[in-house]
Amino acid sequence: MKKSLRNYRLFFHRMGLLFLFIPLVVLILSIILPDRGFSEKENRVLSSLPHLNGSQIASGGFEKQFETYENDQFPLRDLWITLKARTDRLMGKVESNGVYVGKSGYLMEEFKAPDQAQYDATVKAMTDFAQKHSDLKQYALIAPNSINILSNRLPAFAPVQDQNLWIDSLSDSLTDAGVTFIDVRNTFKDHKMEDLYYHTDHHWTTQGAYYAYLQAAKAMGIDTSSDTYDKAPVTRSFQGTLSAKSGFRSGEKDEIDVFLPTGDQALSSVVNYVDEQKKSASFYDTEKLGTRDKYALFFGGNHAQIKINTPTETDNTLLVLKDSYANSFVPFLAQHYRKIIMIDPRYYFGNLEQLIQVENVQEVLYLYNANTFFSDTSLELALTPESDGQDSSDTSDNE
Amino acid sequence: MVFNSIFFIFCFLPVFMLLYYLIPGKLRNLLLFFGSLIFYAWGEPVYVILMLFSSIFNYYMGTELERLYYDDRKQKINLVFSIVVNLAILVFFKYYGFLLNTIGGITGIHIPHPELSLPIGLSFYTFRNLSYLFDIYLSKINAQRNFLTFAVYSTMFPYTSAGPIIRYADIEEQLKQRTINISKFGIGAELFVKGLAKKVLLADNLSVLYSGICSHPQMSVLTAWTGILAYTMQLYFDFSGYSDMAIGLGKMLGFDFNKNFDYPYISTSVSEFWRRWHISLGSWFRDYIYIPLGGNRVSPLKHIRNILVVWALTGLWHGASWNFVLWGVYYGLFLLLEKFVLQKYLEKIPSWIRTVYTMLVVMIGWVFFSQTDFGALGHYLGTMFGIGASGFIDSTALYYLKTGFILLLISILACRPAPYQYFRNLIRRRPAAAIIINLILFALSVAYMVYNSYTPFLYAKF
Repeated sequence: MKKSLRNYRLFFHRMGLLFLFIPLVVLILSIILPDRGFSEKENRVLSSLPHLNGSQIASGGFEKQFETYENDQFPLRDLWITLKARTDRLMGKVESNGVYVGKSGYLMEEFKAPDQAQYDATVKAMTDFAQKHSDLKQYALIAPNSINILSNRLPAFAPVQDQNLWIDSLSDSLTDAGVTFIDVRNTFKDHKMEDLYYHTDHHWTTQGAYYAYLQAAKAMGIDTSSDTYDKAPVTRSFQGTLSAKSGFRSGEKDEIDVFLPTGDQALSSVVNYVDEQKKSASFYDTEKLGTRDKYALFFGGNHAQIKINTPTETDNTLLVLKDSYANSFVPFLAQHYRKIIMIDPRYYFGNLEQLIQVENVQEVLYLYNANTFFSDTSLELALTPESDGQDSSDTSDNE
Repeated sequence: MVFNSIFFIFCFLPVFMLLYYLIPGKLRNLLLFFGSLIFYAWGEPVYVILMLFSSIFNYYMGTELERLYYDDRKQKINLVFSIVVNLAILVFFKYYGFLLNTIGGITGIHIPHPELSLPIGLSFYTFRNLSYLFDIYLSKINAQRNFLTFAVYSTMFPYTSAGPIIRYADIEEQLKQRTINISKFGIGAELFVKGLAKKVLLADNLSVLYSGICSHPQMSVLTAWTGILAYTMQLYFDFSGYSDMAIGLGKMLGFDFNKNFDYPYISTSVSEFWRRWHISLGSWFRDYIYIPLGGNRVSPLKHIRNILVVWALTGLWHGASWNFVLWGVYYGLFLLLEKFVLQKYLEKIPSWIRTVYTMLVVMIGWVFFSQTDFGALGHYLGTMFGIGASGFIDSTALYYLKTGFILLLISILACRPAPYQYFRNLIRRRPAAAIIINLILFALSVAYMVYNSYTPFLYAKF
């Protein structure tokens, strides 16, 4: 009895000491320790001490900034975040920020059903464009995402939306308008035991892009019989966006491969970054391997416009309207087109009609991943030439 | 400022407590007053003036009410005046838009009104100050002559933003004289860590579970029940966690506040539930509305009226929307039902069945509480009973039950007294283990609070 009372007192006395001094020590530590500028884990600049300012204090803005600063600069911040993510996993959580923890190490991003009006507008823009340019051969490759192809590796009962309904509907609409829909879903399902997607990132791997390329080649009439490649790993320490976004599997690393054409037939291309006014003899920007965003190895990331010239025998020009999935895909096509123009409508504000005329484009390829395509708003704008005087007069002539 | 933030725990609290323990006892009230103003003004810099005005006004009215003790009529006029002023402020900030919308809905005349943000803790400090005036009027207490002492009561940071609604009578002595020492600080710290863990580890995660479920417009019966179970648990741990932190902080400052929650989810009747849930609010309505209206010592019809009035007001206190009134009246009806019909039956059945009955009433009640839109409310309630549901069970339900299983299990255990009794025994037998448990809970809570600002920048997203 006596001992239990003594223990009782001991407990509260120690609790008092600990909780009087722990916060104090942490406070002193966070003052002494130098502020971190950049968080590698979150890939962002951490907030710094806000400046005192009368009106900011009165509005509550300073207080908010100061709290963010305290949080950002909390000692061992990354360790706490890892601890939180680990605890979540222990508690049985399998989803965070729209990213699911799949089986065999895959992180998979959820598919959000598109806004119907936006989807309709995009499809209309594409079909109108197809009718207007019936002289151009047009293809669409909308790559399924890992959540679709690897759905059997999703956590049990995960309440995800079905991407296939939308891809099917798109395929029907585009086929009716005369656009060749390149459906890689079956090919991907056949190869789903291979690494078609990165485990920690939302992109397809170069292997995945290669299978898609083989499928596309058939549809586009490209002879791939003389293609031979050396598969070369360029990094094994790629930590993709999905691990950053979810906080899960922060220890996991991916390998990035490049497929280099071999043999006597192999042609070398010249890559022209139009806006940047920069030319390169390689598709790959190896400097990016030193940064967090290692997928930017391919063409150094997304650019408004890239022109690729390759001394092929045939004289043909391909326009690719694309997202970042194209960046690891287009190098395969380069062997077969004299000129490829890659346009990323999210960054491109030029006149597409003019570009098609000036560059004498013969073929158009839409290359997107489904998650991006079905949430995209920029493709519709790029295809609809309403803001441009000359084009709108063209349209009225047609009507 | 909120308690469950890195800034409060690792910046405000250590600096404040260090000063509080180092300065002479005479100055503590002054420090507490200014500390409370800073606490309130942090994030709410303009409305601190409103809170100060309320303190000054009610301090003055308190002395007036006492001065007019022998002049019944004048005292009554002064009381009514001060009630009107207090309620006018509350109504203006909290119910203005609600009133105009309701009038607009009935008459068709839509009066445009600015959307005012609700001053933090307004409902709480209005009720606290009113209880002070009522108690003076009822001669339960003497008015406080010293403004600083009253201001400390009226603005003290542990309970200023979210209660409990501490009565002046309960801490009158402590406002002048209170003991502080490391052990009492430790008692407070233990309570604070418990409350913090309830809020950050349980309530916030239950909230993620519930909002995940609510993102599905079409649910199965089981999904809807899983959702409302998560919400039921979330509300309890959120509110009781905050109260635990408040009471804990009070202990650190040398105060002893009464408990605000007493394991409400083990209640065996709805009336018992309300004796265990948000005790300081229930007793406020009992003492200052229900009993002055005559309570149960009137004709049965008036008694019924009293109960319904009190519960409609209790509902309205929780938010400026009709669903809260509905929620209050719902409880009023169940209390009447128990009082006049069910009581004699309830006595005969085993207590676990009574708890199941009570929890069903409570959980369905939370549906009224959770949905301000009547259409959504009706849809959710309907789904729980199979109307408009996509079947009884579906994979979505299994997903949330599977991924939320541990959380829900811990929650159900943690709203019962047994784990806390076990912990108290552990303190007696192995104090070191008990300390380690507290440190682990604290560290996990810190991890979740740090994570709140985790905002990875997703480069070139696609």
